[in-house]
Amino acid sequence: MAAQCIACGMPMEKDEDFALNDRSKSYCRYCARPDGTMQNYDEKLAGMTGFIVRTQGVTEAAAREAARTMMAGLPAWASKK
Amino acid sequence: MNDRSARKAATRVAILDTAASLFADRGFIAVTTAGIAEAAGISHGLIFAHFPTRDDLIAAVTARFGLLMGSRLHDLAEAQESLRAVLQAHLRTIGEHELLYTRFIAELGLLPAAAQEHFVAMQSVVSHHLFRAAAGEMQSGIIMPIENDLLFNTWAGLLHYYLTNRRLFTTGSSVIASLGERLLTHFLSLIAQKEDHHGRSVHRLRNAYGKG
Repeated sequence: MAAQCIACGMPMEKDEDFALNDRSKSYCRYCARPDGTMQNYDEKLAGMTGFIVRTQGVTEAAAREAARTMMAGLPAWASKK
Repeated sequence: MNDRSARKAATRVAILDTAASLFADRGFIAVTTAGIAEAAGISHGLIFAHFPTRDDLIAAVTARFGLLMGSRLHDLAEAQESLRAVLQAHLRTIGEHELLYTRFIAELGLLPAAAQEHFVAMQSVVSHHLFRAAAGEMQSGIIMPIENDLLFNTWAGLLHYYLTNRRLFTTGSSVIASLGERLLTHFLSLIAQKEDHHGRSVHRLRNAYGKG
């Protein structure tokens, strides 16, 4: 079974799926900052909200709620519940 | 994990499995927690030890379904380059859970907010995979330029109409199995590039997509 990003849930199989192509990282390239560190909650929430708006055209408010709910189930953000 | 934790985890999975199965058969609105407990062979109170409210249970079923669908589509679609192949992967993913998926789209507006939000998050993963494949075909002029949201919503609108009206279009069999390929071919013909940059009609889609 593929590893799963702790911050967005994306399955990670190939080297390039992991932050900095580093399989020891628990988060994916989409959840990494340019320096390879993991984005914080607010950064990820903003990114996920934009992703949902772009992919489905829903309002920003609806996208933000969907992003918040989805992130609440992921290990990286468990303390935000 | 000790025995007690393992039993607890197994009970939680059994509740989720039973609930998902009943929701698929009868719909979210019609199924009660008492019915789920009876079908799972557990006490009614035990459900609430795992899920404080019925809404929490529906949200948990949706979250698990979203992860399953997203992960399955990722597995099937990641290596695919053509939009047709990714759409086929999407149809296959839905087809594996067609009844439950259909309940979701038919009753989504009536579900708890958290369940709706999990479902929306899942659809963005689907949309992302579709657009990834479509972008290359837009570049090469096979399909017309379409924004990510409209591409996905147009496909979902077509597919969901047939799924939610399944009784009009199938005689008890799977909509995906009986009509999926036809809908896919029709969708690809709708979004095909009709003219080249000189305004001339192009026919390459007929070659690329057969019936297109």
